[in-house]
Amino acid sequence: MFAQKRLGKELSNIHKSLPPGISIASASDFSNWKMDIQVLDTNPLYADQIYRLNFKFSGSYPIEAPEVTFIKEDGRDIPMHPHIYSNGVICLDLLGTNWSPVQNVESVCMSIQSMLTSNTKNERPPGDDTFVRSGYRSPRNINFVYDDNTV
Amino acid sequence: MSPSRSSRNSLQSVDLRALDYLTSPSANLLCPICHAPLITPVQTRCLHTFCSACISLSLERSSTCPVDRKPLNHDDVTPAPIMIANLVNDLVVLCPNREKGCTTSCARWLVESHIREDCEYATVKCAKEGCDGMVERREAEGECVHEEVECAFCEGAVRKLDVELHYKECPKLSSDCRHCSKSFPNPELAAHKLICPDEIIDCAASHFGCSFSSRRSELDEHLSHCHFVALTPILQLHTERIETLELENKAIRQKLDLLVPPRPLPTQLSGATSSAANDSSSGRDMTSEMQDYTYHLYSEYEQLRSDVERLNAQIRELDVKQDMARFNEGLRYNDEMTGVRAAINGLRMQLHWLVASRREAGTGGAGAGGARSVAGSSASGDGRRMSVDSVRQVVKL
Ligand SMILES: [Zn+2]
Ligand SMILES: [Zn+2]
Ligand SMILES: [Zn+2]
Ligand SMILES: [Zn+2]
Ligand SMILES: [Zn+2]
Ligand SMILES: [Zn+2]
Ligand SMILES: [Zn+2]
Repeated sequence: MFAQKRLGKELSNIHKSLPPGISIASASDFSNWKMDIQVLDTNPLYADQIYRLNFKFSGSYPIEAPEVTFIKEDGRDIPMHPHIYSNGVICLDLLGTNWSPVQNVESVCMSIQSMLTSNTKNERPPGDDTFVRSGYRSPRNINFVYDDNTV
Repeated sequence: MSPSRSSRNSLQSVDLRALDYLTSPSANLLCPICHAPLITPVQTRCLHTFCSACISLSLERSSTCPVDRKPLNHDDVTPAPIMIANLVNDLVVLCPNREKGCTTSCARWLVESHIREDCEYATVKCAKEGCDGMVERREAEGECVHEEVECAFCEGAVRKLDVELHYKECPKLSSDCRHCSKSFPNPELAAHKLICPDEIIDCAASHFGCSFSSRRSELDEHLSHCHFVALTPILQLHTERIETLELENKAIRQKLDLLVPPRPLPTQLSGATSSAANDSSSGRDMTSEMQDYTYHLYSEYEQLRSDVERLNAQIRELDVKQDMARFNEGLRYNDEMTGVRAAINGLRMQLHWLVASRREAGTGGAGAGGARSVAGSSASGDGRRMSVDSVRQVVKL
């Protein structure tokens, strides 16, 4: 109930307006939304690309963070980034230990958008192969494997 | 309003969080967590305002303020100023029974009493003595709808409340088929649904990959030339055989796992085997002994393997934890760096501005200093140092 009411409000705001480069792809219920994001400047890594984010909400959203991953769908790819695994799992402390219930779908999209905008490295996180093979899908259950702090 | 009605209070509960508001309230009155107007507003030590319930939930998960992430405990949360509470309690809400037909809107603090005492659509206890049923208040004065009446068509007993529902399945009445919209007596409807010519159904071979579907009456035509249907007997046979083979395979693999030693036996044993081949009488003993030995080795191997697996998992976990810590630290440093960089930039700009303005002031008063600068470069150097010194003084101020 709590989550639905809040998501209902967010949805009506999202339908009213969204920051440039962010759009809603689908939101047919209160457990799973898809958002499209785009990098607006001329970063050659992401130029002319649209990426799709999958949001999964639990019943205790926004107290609990949503599960956010990039997905391959409708020809969308997983963006190249040293904090994004090739299976779409994103390492962003905002979505884990640093989650706060004042965050919302829009602010999460914006954080991820700016995470892409400022990136210059055309690479995957170290240990991407092992991580993807180990089959972890949920960023919530793992702590991330990171060596570099440049982004 | 009759006295009997007002004495009958509604027990329907009101969820303040679920209320809808007449006009969208000022953003200042919204809780940052649930995005709805504050309910029982409380204030934190860092002067942020939340619903009492929302901040409690949040503190259970993390002991920080959701807005500024400062450390926060239940003890740091106190009721918000009474003025804020009054502002939110005076907001006009729509009656929660709006969907049933109530058009009332009232201040939020009045909504509970509206439901309890006035709302025509709130559920109250049935007026009839001894009846435990519930009805909407506006119908409470009418006769009890919970007693059973006789269906006029099938003569069965039905609660008055359920009569409408009963008509849909009463054996004496007819209903329309969903697909062909023809009318059938209720008892025959189920049978008709199995043969309704207008229902859209899938090809009989859909589980083998045919994606065709059409009205039942037109499906025969497709079935007569569908390749999947033609292949169905063979495909069926294959599926069955594959299943049997899979089962067999599994059983064989289990046996194999038990019998084949995971690594070569020690040499002295294989030596014993060859000598056992010569001596057929002791051969039986040797084989069984060897088998025991194999079992033993195998179980030991299994144990070791699970040990290694467990250790591996532990190492992975530790690795990941450590890396995460490092990553977070890096993030923090990054933030700090950006802060410092911004501060430096600010200072630089200030300095530029000051130098520029100083220079302007200098050219303005150049009439006096002009002669001196012609006199010698050392003098003009002094002048420059002077100006920098005075800039420094301004910055200090
Ligand atoms: Zn705070
Ligand atoms: Zn709240
Ligand atoms: Zn009402
Ligand atoms: Zn009754
Ligand atoms: Zn009947
Ligand atoms: Zn029909
Ligand atoms: Zn077919």
